[in-house]
Amino acid sequence: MKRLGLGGLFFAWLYGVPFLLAVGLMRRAATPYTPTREAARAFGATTDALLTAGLLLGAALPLVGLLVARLAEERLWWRHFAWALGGTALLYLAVALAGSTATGPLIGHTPAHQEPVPPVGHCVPVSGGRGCPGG
Amino acid sequence: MDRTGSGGRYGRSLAVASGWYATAIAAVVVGTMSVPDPPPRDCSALFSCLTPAESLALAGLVWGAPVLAGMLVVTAVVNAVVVRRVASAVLAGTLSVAVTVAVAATAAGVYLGGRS
Repeated sequence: MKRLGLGGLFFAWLYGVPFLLAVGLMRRAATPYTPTREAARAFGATTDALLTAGLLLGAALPLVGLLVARLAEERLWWRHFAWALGGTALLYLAVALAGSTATGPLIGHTPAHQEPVPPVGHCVPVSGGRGCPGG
Repeated sequence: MDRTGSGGRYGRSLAVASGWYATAIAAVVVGTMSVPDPPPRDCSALFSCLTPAESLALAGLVWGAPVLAGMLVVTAVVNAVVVRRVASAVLAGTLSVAVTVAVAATAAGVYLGGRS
């Protein structure tokens, strides 16, 4: 039971964190069709959540694993999680490399939206041209 | 995880390697499907109105399946070498996939370079 839990934790880190980061980076690199400003913001927020979750879990899962393995005196799994921290460092390096190719920030980026600019609702006086009523 | 001979380790590391391929495919599928596409305008030409899911399936069948099969063969061969030197099945499987990806990238570079 103990080993099953530790194994589950380890493989959740091994495959889950790269999965989250890969999906997040693919979304970040994509140019989505977001017809409204709101849709673009929602798309960016989901991408941010995926990347943040990947980065946080990348460090959190091995640390929890180290703690549990120490408490359960599972020497082999402790070693696995210690190596996992090194793997997370490599993942962070890969994400930093991917981020350096992006023009904007990796997290906190909102894709362009295709919402038309709203028409000007008030009168703008033009020099030498039209005046505005009452102005 | 008891240490049986390198035969058991080979199977386990190959399972780890397969897990990497499954993760990569799942990430590509989810990453592609979760990006909204503009509605198609001109649908007169063949294959011009495929949804992202359809074009992904088409590319996967025509192009992805042979590449994946080749990579699995390379992984199986590389893993046989790696598993003798690396004690951990997880590390051996991951290293095998890393070497395979490097080999595939080199092969793709040579292929594309030779065509142009």
